[in-house]
Amino acid sequence: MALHIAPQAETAPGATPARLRPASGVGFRALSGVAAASVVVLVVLPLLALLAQAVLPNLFGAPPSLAPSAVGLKSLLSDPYMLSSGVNSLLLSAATAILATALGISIAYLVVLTDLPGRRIVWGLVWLILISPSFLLAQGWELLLAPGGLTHGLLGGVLTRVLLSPVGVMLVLSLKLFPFSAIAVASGLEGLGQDVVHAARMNGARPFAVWRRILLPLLTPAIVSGALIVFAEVLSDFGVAATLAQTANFPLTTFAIYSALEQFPVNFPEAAATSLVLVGAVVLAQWGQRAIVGRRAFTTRWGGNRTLSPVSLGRKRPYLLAAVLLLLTVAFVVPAATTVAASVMPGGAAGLVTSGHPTLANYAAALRIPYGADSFGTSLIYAVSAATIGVLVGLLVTLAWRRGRGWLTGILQSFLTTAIAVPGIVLGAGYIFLWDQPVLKYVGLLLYGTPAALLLAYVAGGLPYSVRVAAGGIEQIPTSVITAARVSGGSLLTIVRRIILPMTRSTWVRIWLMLFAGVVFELPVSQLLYPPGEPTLAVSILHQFHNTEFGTGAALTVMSTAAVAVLSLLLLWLAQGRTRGAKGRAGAPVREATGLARPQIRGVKGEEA
Amino acid sequence: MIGGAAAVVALVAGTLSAGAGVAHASQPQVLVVYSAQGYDQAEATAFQKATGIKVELSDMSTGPLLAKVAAEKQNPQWDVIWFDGNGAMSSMNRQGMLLQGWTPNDIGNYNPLGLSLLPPNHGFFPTGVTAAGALVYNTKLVSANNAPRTWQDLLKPEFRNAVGMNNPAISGPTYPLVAGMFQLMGVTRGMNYFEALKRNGLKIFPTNGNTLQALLNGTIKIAMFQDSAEINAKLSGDPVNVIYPTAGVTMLPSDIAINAKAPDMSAAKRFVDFVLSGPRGQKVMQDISAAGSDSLFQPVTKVINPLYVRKGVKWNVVSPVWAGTNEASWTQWFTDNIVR
Repeated sequence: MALHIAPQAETAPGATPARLRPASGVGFRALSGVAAASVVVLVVLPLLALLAQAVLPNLFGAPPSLAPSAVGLKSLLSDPYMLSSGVNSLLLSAATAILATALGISIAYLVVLTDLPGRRIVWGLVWLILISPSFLLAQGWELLLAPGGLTHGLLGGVLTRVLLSPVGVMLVLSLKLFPFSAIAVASGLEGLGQDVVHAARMNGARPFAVWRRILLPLLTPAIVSGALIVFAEVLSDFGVAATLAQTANFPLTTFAIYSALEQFPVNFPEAAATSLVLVGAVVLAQWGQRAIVGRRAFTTRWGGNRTLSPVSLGRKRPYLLAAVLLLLTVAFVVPAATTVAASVMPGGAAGLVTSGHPTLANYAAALRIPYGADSFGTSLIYAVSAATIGVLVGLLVTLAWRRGRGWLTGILQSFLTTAIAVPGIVLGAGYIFLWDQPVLKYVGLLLYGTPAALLLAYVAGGLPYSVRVAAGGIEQIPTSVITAARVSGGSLLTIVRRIILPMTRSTWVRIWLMLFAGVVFELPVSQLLYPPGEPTLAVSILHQFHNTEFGTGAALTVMSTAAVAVLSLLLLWLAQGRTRGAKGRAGAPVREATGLARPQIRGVKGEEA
Repeated sequence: MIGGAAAVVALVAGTLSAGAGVAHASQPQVLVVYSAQGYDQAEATAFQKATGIKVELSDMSTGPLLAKVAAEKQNPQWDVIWFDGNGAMSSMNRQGMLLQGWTPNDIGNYNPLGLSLLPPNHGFFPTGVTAAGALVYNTKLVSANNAPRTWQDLLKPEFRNAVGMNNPAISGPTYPLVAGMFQLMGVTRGMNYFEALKRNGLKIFPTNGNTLQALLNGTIKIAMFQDSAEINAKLSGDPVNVIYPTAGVTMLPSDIAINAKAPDMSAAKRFVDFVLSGPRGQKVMQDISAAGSDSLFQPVTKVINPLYVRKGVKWNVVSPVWAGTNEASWTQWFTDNIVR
């Protein structure tokens, strides 16, 4: 039976794959309206404000004009550099999405379903990679890969040459981005539990068959969702595009966009036209996602799956552990240690290599300088606010879109994912165009230059992740559960409060943390939008690096990263602790390892028939 | 649905902007400064203390600063801008974005170097200069006697695989260095020079920090990048020495300018006055504990002395228009022919 589970599994356990009829009623219509309005205001309008300039170059000119022109598009199509950047970006994103997804699936499987030793630590490190500021990792990589850097010293020039190439760029990005995939897949696996694997094994399935016929098919939405995030992340990445990729002479689209925006006169039409390449790529990728995932249901949170005994890795255990530790060391420990070392070295502008005894002077300086510690406080407030609003708006949008499959929803969904794929400076510039309109002054809504504009932009930047990850979580709830609740007269609010929230709480904790960490260290949007006089953390750190005070900058980075890490891990741990206490499910080793709980709801179970 | 949208906008925006709006209303004079200078914060604090005018400073890299100013074109929020490199400043000046024809009280403070950089229409004001690229060598690896004195010395066999610089496509002050060489030597000979350097094993790093690190850990023995960062390393105790090649180094001016449509014009003028004024404004720019390497500029006024005396420096001034028009193609040439 087990071996035949796959073809039906997508629908069978959840009983009816019934797409609920588009809900009617005032409540749902209001919900849809508010959700659509939020997405339009937060994401669509600011993006359009910039993208439209590809064909309307003087839309926000002084004086403004609607005269169309194809100059931006022409320069895009006629410039071989632009074209090759576009092709490079697409290939790199696709390749990185594949590699990062493979890494993500492997790690998630090992941590969630197996008896790998030290799963808790492994999972903690995966989270640390996710929440660490990208400049912390990028800096370590630069040091490693520089001519004469560590890799050169250890393995000679050959490896350096291999790594300073498109392949190296892909490896670095995969190591940085695989947590997105790992976390998405872990969610799916938790819903699944080990039972299916045990059942299949008992029925004689070889591990390969278990993967091919059960795990992969059931995890498809999570896998594709994670892959799409990685794909879009690579498209929008600027840090690696501006450093490693440039050194490897591998021009990427984001670099072309920044170049168009950071010269004077600034070429907005060209930046907009180039951004359209990224938008096109993401829209195509989303079509691909729909083609793969289709309209099948992926209910996996049926009531009976237990997670009593992990899948045994047998003799492969030590080797797999070694492989995982090696991966995490290369991806996190080495680059992080580099920055820590730079932060405790005295004086010298280059930090790391200056001789002398370790000192805490840089930390004292980081606390003393204006806007050092303050900027961290500022960013923490923004991060908590933006993550909380982002989770709430994300919940709203996910609920509204759960059933609405109209054309408007389709367009809005595309825009949301597009927001991940365009670099931060594009979203930031869009926010200036939108919220610096002179007319807004008369209605008291000239938000540009106030904390509100930056906060809204942070929420907008996080919303695509929020909706994407949340949708994955909510998809796993059997529709029959909700149907039952509705038949029993449960209102929308009750269903959300009593069923959807409890069943997806761990998902929301994760989303909150992702948004929180993303905002604390955010740079490009902050640079453009922070209210003058109130710099955020990344702005402050960059200022130190700009002043060649690398030690102080490193100290600030280490302190803030450590604080965010402690906070995040504590929160994950608390979320898990509460669940265990409440449900008395202390026997779930996996939940302990991942700190991610899957609360059961009372009274709704046993659907596996 | 549109009603819903409006409601959300009003709710979110109204709640959030209320606080900020009130703050603005209660301050009669607020000066908004966009700057990419290390000493901007110290200067803003000193000005606020001296005049009581609140300064709202946006500190960022030059690139985002330019994008921000351009995106605000319809409704500019800034009063004063301050950054390195006079290419963008000249361009804004030509477009009429900057206040022209106004003369600061202390314009008499300018030394000959300062006067030479002042545009006739007073569209912007120089506040200091650095060299886009001087030579710096590791004193543990190269003796003073063997240290290079000229650009050509870098081609010597003894410096094979020992010279490094930043990538002009990544590091801000490195394009002016390349353009300056092209002006000094002529474009073709300048290109030949970089190709010869490459044949001699020139190494390219992303930015100052990486190049300096390579210099100190012995990957390279000699480097060329912005001299304020080189001097900062020397003053911080790193084993390095700075050399100004006899043919000259490319000058990188720092300029300050007032918005032609400054929301607070009088405060903007007072700020520029303050920056150029006697020991107060000028001295603040030299607070190295606050500003790091940017404090190590060569003064353009008579009222302060440099923190570090540049011995035997010959300045080459590059035409900003000429350098600006060729920036894209020369950076690409450098990427294609030298970085690879």
